[in-house]
Amino acid sequence: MVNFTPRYSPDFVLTGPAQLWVQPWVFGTPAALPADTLELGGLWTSPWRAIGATKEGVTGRFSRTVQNITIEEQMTPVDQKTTAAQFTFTAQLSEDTLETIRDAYGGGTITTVAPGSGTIGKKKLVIGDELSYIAVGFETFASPRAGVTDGDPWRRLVVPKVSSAAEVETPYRRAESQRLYPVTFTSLVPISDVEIWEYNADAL
Amino acid sequence: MTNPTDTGPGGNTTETTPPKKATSSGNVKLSLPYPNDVFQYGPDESKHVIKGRKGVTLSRDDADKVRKLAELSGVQLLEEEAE
Repeated sequence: MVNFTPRYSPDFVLTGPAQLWVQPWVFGTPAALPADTLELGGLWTSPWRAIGATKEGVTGRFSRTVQNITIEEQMTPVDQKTTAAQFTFTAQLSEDTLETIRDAYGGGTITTVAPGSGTIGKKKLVIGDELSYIAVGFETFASPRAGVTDGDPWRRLVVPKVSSAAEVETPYRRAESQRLYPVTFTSLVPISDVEIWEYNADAL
Repeated sequence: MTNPTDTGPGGNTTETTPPKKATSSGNVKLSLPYPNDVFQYGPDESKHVIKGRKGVTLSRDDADKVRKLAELSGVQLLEEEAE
């Protein structure tokens, strides 16, 4: 028996959750990442808003559809060219608020009336006829690095313009399940507009 | 590592952006992140209202009161020094 172990780095094998943040997309004002000095898990200030609890965490999906370029003389493709790509984040939102419903239904307007003397506070959501665009921020922890000792290494990205379109089926059960609002955020920007950043080394 | 908190829906819907420094009027501009959202913070529908990014400019004392009402109502505000 040959004694052979492939090379590997167990420190780079990661598990763990991710946090999604959302904010409205505003023409001419692209959403930005928080300051590099913000620690992992820190608060992304307004207008960012955390999407809150999820049933099974966040799932990121990237798919690229390719066209094989073939020739008669070769059985395998000689090249592949991208014909389409899709980048999405999905989650099952579990905080039952009007903000959650708006996120899941793809947009709308919320009117809030604060409580006053003898009057209750109230809130109204009008679901938008058309999709509204939002920006999505993503944060998770990155692989440990020897050069990072001032905090936990983070990985962050912003998709500056996404839409939220999905079939939103919400169970209203006594005890079987919490109310859920599935969301699918689909990137609407060129792939090259999405930059994935990692905290890689401490400042000198 | 920082632990998430349960301070409100989504963990932070009531927080506000720290005011920007180095402006002078002493007033504060409060607005809402979503352009078409509305927050009515007093009895007068036309007067005591913040509409989307257009916002409203208030004295610091009034802004404090509105901020408290927003927190109570679960409304996220944007805040900056008014010029």
